[in-house]
Amino acid sequence: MSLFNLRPDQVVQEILEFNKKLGEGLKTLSEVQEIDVGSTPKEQIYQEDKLVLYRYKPKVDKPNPVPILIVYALVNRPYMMDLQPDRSLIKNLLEAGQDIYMIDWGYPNKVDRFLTLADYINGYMHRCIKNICKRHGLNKINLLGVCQGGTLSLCYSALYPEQVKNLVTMVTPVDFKTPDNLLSLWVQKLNIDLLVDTLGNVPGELLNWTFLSMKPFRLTGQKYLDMVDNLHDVETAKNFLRMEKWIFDSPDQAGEAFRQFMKDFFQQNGLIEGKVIIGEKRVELKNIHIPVLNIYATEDHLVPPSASLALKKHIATQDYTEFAFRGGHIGIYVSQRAQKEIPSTIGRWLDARRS
Amino acid sequence: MTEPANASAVAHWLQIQQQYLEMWLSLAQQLLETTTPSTKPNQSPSPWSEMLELYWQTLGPSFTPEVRTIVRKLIDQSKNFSQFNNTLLEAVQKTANSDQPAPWFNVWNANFNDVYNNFSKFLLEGDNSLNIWQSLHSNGWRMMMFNMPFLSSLNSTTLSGGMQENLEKLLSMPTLGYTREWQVKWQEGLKHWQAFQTAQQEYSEILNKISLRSIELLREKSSSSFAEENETTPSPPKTMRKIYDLWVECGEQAYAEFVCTEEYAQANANLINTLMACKHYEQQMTDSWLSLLNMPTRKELDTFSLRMQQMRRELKILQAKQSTNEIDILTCQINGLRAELETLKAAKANPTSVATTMTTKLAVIPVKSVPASKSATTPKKTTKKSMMVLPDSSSNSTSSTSATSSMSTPPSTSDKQGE
Repeated sequence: MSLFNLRPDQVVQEILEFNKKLGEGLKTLSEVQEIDVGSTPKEQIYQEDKLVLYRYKPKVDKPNPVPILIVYALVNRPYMMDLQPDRSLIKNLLEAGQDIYMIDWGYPNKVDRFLTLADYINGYMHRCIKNICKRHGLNKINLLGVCQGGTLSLCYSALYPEQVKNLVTMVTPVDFKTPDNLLSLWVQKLNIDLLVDTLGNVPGELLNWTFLSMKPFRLTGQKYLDMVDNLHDVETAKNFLRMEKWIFDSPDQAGEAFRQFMKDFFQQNGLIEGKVIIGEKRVELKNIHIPVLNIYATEDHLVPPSASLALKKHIATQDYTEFAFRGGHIGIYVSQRAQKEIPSTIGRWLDARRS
Repeated sequence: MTEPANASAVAHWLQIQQQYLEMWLSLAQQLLETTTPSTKPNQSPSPWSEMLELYWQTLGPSFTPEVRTIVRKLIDQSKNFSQFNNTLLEAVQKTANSDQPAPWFNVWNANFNDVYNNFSKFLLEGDNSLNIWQSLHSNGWRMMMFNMPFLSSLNSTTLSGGMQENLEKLLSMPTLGYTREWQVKWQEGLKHWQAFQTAQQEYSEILNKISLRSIELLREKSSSSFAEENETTPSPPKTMRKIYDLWVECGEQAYAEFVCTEEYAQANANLINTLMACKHYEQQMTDSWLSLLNMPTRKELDTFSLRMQQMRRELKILQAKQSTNEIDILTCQINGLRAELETLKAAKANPTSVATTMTTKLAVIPVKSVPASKSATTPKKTTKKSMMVLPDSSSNSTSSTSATSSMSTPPSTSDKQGE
């Protein structure tokens, strides 16, 4: 008897089959011409520096009169919300009767090295919201903050409560020092000042490396072998390639904004301790009295549920709802279950708070 | 399995691989629609990897740029899988003994040390592509290590040779003479580099511990995770892919055990901090050279970017203020015009009381310069003016003075719109 019960002839057969699949897969890949993302129709309504504000074409006759602005993270690209027609939270939110705007932060370069969080929140975000309010003749709109964008949206809602009607946060870190937060543990002893002073803008590739480092065996190796089993046709291959494109399409981070986010939020846990200063104002989560829907993913390895759930005890609203999505940080955007659960949950919650 | 049988099996496997390589070449030929290369590659100890590499060289350029990077990763991981298979199979075959009647996991346990040593050696050797740490670092650190001309020549080999012994002495030597400041700078750079080398070594030690732990877990799990439903005793994994998946699972588990510790966090931070210190030093040295050449330095560009950002910020504030002022002015104008309109409507309805009413209503209008008396004296004409001016003033007016003037002299073309 041999260890592992491996017989050379069976091994050879297995390898032959693997290589046959690989060959077919490579042939399929050679037929893929273009990887298209973001298929839902939209129009650019405002542009400032590298930021672009889009409005998605409503899909119902009478959408929610209060539009929703999606504020995505500065890390990675917002088209994750609209990856492809059958994996698009935006498409499904439109079908749920919402009127959707979304900020695309663009790709910062050297000129943007000194953009601060105040520039992002008091500047870009505020002007986008003003612009939307003006278009709709409203004083306030709904906000949907995603991941780091949720943290920015919380800051904004605390600083400008008069501009936000309802706030939805998705996989948003609030308490940055929960024991299960691996990223936070790694960041605590980093010399952030030296990092930013040295690198200027922090390369997206460095962030990719950090994220891959969280599950290196799975994400740098096994995933691609699994892919071999899923390359039997061009459409399936494209599905994989869209995800892959998104994962590695990481903008550099404006140095000063990164410095502040890492030091004030991660290292000092300033958001829940009232230590974050944006511009000249202190962010007090207790200023948030508006209705809040907090969506988190139970298997999130980047933003653990505990980091998101802390929100409840730090805001002053009487109208607080939590929604637990059974999945991970990526699955909450693109999984089939997410398409069914997330948009309908947000839509119903917002519709109940129209007045 | 006996020794000659082993040798025969491995030889057979290599032969199959060689045949497969030829099949791949044929596939490449079909895809390219060209003729087969005239020369066949020589038989190699790892033909699987070679054929994949050959495929890449032949067909890589035919993929679109976005797809090409994925194909490269796919090929790399397939090569790793092939390498994994080669190594594990060799390790297993060296320890296999068909005469032993004991259950497979007893055999596995009894022979584990040999497999462990062979496989661990393979995993920990720096130059194999299955070394997960090496591949991760070679990608992630490539950009961070880039452009270190002053320190990169001091690689670990150099330091571990003759220089390492005397490095401490070198760094503690007093600096003297005309070039004293320059010597201090060099000592500073060497200290940074030494710190980085130490941090790198500590980090590598942790990664090695993780690799070894993953092998231990592989042994534990392989004796318990593959129980088949109809068997009372565990059954070993029967395919290379299952073993690979099990290894990945063990690797992730071992990794997770280590990376959530303070020890790892500190080692990881030391590695990045010391590398940044090296790079920062390099930048300072580069800047000093650029300065001598009268070229723009990084520091100067940073100052430039900072000032530009400050100006952008101030400009936005000014624009916002201006916009707010304009809105205030326009609001006042609209209020004034509404009031005037009401008055004029009233005047039209009751002409005898117009003068009194106009004076009363316009007194509460916040626009400073609305000429109430003038409007009051020519009611019919003013009606047309105010109706016309509304759209015009909202787009052009920047001050109450200009608003007033446009109100008093409307363009004739607007009359019709106003009507």
